[in-house]
Amino acid sequence: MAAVRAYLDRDAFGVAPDPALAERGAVHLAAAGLPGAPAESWRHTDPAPLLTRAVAPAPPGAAAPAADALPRLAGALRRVWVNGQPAPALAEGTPPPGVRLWALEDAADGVGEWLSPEHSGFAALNALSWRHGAGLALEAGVKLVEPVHLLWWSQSGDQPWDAHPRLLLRLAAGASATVVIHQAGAAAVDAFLGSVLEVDLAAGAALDLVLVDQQGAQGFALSQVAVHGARDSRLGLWLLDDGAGWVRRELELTLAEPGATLALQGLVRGRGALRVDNQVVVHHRAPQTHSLQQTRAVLQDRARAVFGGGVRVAVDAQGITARQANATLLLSRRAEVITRPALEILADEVQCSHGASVGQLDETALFYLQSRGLDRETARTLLIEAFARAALPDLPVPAVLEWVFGPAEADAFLAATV
Amino acid sequence: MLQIDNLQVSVDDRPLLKGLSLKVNAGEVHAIMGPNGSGKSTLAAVLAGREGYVHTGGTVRYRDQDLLAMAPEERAREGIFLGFQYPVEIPGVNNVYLLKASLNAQRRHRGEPELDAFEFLRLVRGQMEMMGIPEEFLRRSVNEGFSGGEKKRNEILQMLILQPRLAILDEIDSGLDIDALKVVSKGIQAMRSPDRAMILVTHYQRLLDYVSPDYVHVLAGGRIIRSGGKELAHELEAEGYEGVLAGAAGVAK
Repeated sequence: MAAVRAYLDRDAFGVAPDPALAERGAVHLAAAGLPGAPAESWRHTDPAPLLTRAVAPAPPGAAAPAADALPRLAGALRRVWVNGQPAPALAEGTPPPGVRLWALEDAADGVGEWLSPEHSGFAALNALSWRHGAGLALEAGVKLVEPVHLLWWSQSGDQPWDAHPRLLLRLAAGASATVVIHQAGAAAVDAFLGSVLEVDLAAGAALDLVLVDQQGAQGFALSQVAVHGARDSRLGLWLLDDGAGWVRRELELTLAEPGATLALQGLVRGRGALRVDNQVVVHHRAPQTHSLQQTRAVLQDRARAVFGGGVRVAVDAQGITARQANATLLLSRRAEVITRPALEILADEVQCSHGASVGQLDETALFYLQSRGLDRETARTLLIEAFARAALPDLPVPAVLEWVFGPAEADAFLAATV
Repeated sequence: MLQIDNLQVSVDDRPLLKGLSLKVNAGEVHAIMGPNGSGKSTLAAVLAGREGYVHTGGTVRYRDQDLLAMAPEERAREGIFLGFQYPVEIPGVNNVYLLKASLNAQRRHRGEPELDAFEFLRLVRGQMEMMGIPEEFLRRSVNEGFSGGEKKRNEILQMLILQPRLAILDEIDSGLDIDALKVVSKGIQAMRSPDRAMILVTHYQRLLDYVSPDYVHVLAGGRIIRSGGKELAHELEAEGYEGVLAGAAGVAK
């Protein structure tokens, strides 16, 4: 395949941070290629736009954007990459004692432990191609109060480019943190971010993880996420898609020991020709593990959203619960949603459920608002936003919503957040 | 204020109102009663501008304007209020926002300045007290998880804040226990004034024990077949719709 050759042949990145890992990546990529249809999990997303685009490393020395042009989270520890390159001048905040936040390329121990290069062609591509990234480590019992905001910003560039961020989050026993990983950028940048995120939660650790994509119409993002949750660990995961390009996430979430829990909430806010494909697989490997996935989509124009909700329950994982629900508001005839739960249950004492609903705006609710004096367009907008905001009721950093909805009418939706 | 002449309305080619006429002046309270399916709720919905009803004949004038040509929100801003038989739940939009947006939409329409948050809350608190609605209610989503009685009290609260010229209350008494009925009636009574008119659509007479109407109309088969004073409601209560309808049919023939 041409794209695979191009990735294997180029030598424009300099030395890999972990040459052994890169070598494994190259071997697997050459052997396995990049997956796509007819692979089952790719059935509803065409990888061709990604695989046929030009392959080129991010141009070095992109002019740094003005600091106030970038989204920020008040009080956050912030690290920024512009066109895939670290931008230390835009960093904010110093980690408190017990917290390490570092450039992963400087110390890459443990990279590949939870998502090996042999996991998939795209995992191999990242192992081969990653040059920059972030590591966050919390010592046992440390409660990090400030959110961590990791921003991958795509600045305008004349040429298409790609970058391969690598992230590692490691919380020791009883530690807790909130991390926002944010991909955003100028509207017309043809950029491909092919990232891998590995998360290791030790016993009793608690992570709130928010993944936000706001890239422009020319943006491509393929993120692979692997989470390993030990005994009594807790993962809160929020997926927020508000971009206009091509987005795919592959999440492998493992509840490895008893008491581990996962709560996922997602919102796709699709306009234009947005393509979003979230493929989630929750592995219930141990008894008394619990997962909840609640996703919503609001789709206009020609936007398309795919949800693959996989749940795999190991043979001795008794007493688990796994729930999934998806609700979609289709606002255009050409918008499309595909939701596919996939349950594989080998234990007998489990409670699993899934449900999906697709609908249009409620005419009665529209009329009710109009009968109170709101014009139809305002009423429509209000109902759409209320539906969308209700998708993320437990978002730990509500300020993130302002990136999506703007600061206006903050009092409109108090009910959703109180 | 409101003049309906020979109004005919259908849904899916099925005529629901078949030549309804009614005149409502400022200061009057009219009760419209009738059996299920007689067209009561249709009339309320058509006056408020609900989509899906096809106007096939007759006219409706409201304050010298062609009411049926106006969008629902224009009618609201011109002072028409519909109290819903089944108030709609709107998850994610809170009560205080809807109240404020509604009131300010009207004030803008009238060329008045919008109320700021402080003035608005002062206005709302007074009315909430009268309706026995707790303050935390304001932060909750519109009607979401409200009991039947709470929903109806919320409709009356909206009416008290919007101060409409013409209030149309569609079965505001349905689903209320006696205590809630008293509270709702108190709110309605508080709205009576010489420059305001009200249309109470109801199936039962009991609301009219608390809110005494100036006129009672019996609607059946899409037409008003009898009109009278409040004693007509008692007659209906005593004889049932069937008795009154049979008498009216004889008269009509």
